[in-house]
Amino acid sequence: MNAFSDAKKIYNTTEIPDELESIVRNAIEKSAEKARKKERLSRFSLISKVSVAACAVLVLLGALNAFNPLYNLSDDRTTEKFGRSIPDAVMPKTMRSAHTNTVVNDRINEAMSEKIASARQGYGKVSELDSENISVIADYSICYESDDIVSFVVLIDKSWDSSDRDKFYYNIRTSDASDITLEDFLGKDYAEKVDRSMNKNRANASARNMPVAEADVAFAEEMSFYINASGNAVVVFSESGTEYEITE
Amino acid sequence: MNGNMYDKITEYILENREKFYRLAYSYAHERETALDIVQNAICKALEKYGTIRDENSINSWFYRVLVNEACSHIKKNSREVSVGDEKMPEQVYVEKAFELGEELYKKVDMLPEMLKTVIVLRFYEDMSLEEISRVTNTNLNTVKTRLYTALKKLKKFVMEVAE
Repeated sequence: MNAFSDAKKIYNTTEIPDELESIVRNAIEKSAEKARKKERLSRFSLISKVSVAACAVLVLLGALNAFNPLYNLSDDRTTEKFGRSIPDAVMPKTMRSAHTNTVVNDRINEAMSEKIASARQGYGKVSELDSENISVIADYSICYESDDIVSFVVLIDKSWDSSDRDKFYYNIRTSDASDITLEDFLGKDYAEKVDRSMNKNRANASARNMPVAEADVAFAEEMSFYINASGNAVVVFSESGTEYEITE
Repeated sequence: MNGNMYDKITEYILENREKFYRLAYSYAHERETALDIVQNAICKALEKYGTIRDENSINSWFYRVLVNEACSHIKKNSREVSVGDEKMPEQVYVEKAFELGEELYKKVDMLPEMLKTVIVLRFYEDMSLEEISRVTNTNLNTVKTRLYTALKKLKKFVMEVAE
């Protein structure tokens, strides 16, 4: 018997909650229901079917408001939670509501179209997959919204890639849909502010014996960010997905 | 829906649900969060079940989704995860002979995420390096390098193992 065997025994003593089975069965049932619903709504949903032969992407952006296939699951457990602080209800309302500013809606749709097109190009490298069941699903979530600013994320799911969905962040002015940079949002000393907040968060994590991503060492100009419900910028390391809220 | 493959996948998920929970718990250290991770992984996996053609690949495919979900959760919530009493599995009785194993268990838990994943899959889930390569979507040499690096970090415990 070696130390790893003993460690494995400890691992295997993890208590299994009584409700695990019902939660698993419930998730399976909800997924099956969602798949059936998706089939029924496929003509109207925002699903881009990529045909290998035709290499064409069919996107029905206009149906997004009415049918949101990624968020049909009503159970809180299965609802995508973004940035922890974004109420789930915010996401569908914005597009459906009279965002009186159509510029914002146009920009969101444009962003989703761009990312679907990029995903389609990426598919060209995956030659071993069956041409059926190849799909790109685009969705979005509003991270923050005020009279002047909208921060949103475009979510891309590719059926040939079982890893996490791709996320692309956008921060725009409601007046003209122009991009807001970190400098615009945090001021000229934005890089220093980001580094200070990151160091503070890492120190806190380290003090609590939390794992700290070794690669995420310092601010870089190409880092993306979004604005959370508290109105703070949150920078995102695209490689690791690590997020740091800038509280200064 | 390809009912045959769908049924095989759901059957596989039901049969192995406890293993999935243990793996999720090893990342989350918290019961509700681990349940969330398992449930979200099932939903994501079943959403993309159509990409599976070979039932022999179900295991590594599902573990890949599960590990991604767990890692993603840890990254998103790294500032909120508690490291209190729930760090160790609940209601664990540790005999004296298990002391080394207990220390090793704790050390493994504190490894950087990528290294921890390789150790957990290799030694707790008994996966081959090739399987780990498929689960983590990295090439075999990368897996070997990570395993070596992790074992190096666990050196004094590994010396015990080598006896």
